[in-house]
Amino acid sequence: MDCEKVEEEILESIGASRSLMIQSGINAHLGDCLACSSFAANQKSLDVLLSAMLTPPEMSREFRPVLLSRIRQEKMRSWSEVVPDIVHFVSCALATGLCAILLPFGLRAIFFAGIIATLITYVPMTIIRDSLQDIKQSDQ
Amino acid sequence: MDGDVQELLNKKRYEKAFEQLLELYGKKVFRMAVMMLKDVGRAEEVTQDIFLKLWQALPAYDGRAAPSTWLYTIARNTCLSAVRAESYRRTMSLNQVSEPTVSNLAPLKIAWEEYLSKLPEIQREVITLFYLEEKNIKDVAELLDLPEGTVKSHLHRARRALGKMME
Repeated sequence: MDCEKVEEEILESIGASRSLMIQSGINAHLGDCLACSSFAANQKSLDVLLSAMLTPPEMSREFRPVLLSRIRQEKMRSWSEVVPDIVHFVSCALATGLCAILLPFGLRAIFFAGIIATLITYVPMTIIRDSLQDIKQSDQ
Repeated sequence: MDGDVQELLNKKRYEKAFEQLLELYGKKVFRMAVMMLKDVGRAEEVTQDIFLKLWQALPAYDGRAAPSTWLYTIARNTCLSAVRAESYRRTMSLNQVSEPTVSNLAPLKIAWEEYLSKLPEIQREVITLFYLEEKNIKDVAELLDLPEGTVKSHLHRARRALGKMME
């Protein structure tokens, strides 16, 4: 093995196991070559130092409970976003139904008026809700 | 592992899929955040943001990439945004702070951080992750979305450079 190959093998061997044949070839070369044996020693101490300096950090115990609580909040938030829509459509449907029972007009006219009223009221409601959300986000 | 998660996602069992992703990749994502942000506390906050984003995005998963690749992409982008926000905040606070802050880092650690900071960014990232990921090249390659050969080559260059600095 030449010096270049041995240096590569030394770098490769950190964090990976070498075959016995390659390892004995490296060892034989290191016994004869001062430059490579000093390179090997230098890399070995570098590995020891880096292993000591860059220890894998641990997450705190609170990580999981805090994350799960944030996800619960997120679920609530997305649910609370659709609640006004549901309330709006259910109320409009009830009002239309009530009008169909109580008012002396044809069913077709009442249902048509109900659909139009539902859509007309939905537009300003959406605009107001989006504006309020924008204000809330800019405050945050 | 990724196959199980993918199957759960295909069946729209998002909670179970999320649990598995958190269990399998939580630590790796956290270590990448530590590497990029250099602050364990901040990295933990950002890891939470990453998994919250993942939770929100799970129904939109289209199966084109493996779940881990998809998660690592979210993680990298979130960390990069946090790094940018952090450097902006630091620039802002530099104008306000006049007293120098006292560092509690050991002198050796300071010296090593200086050595590492002299390396090109990709080499610093690779060598830091290599040790944080307990010397697993495959994990480093996945986290950085690089081929294993490229990771090895950056790692070797970084080790040679650091070895010369040590001499």
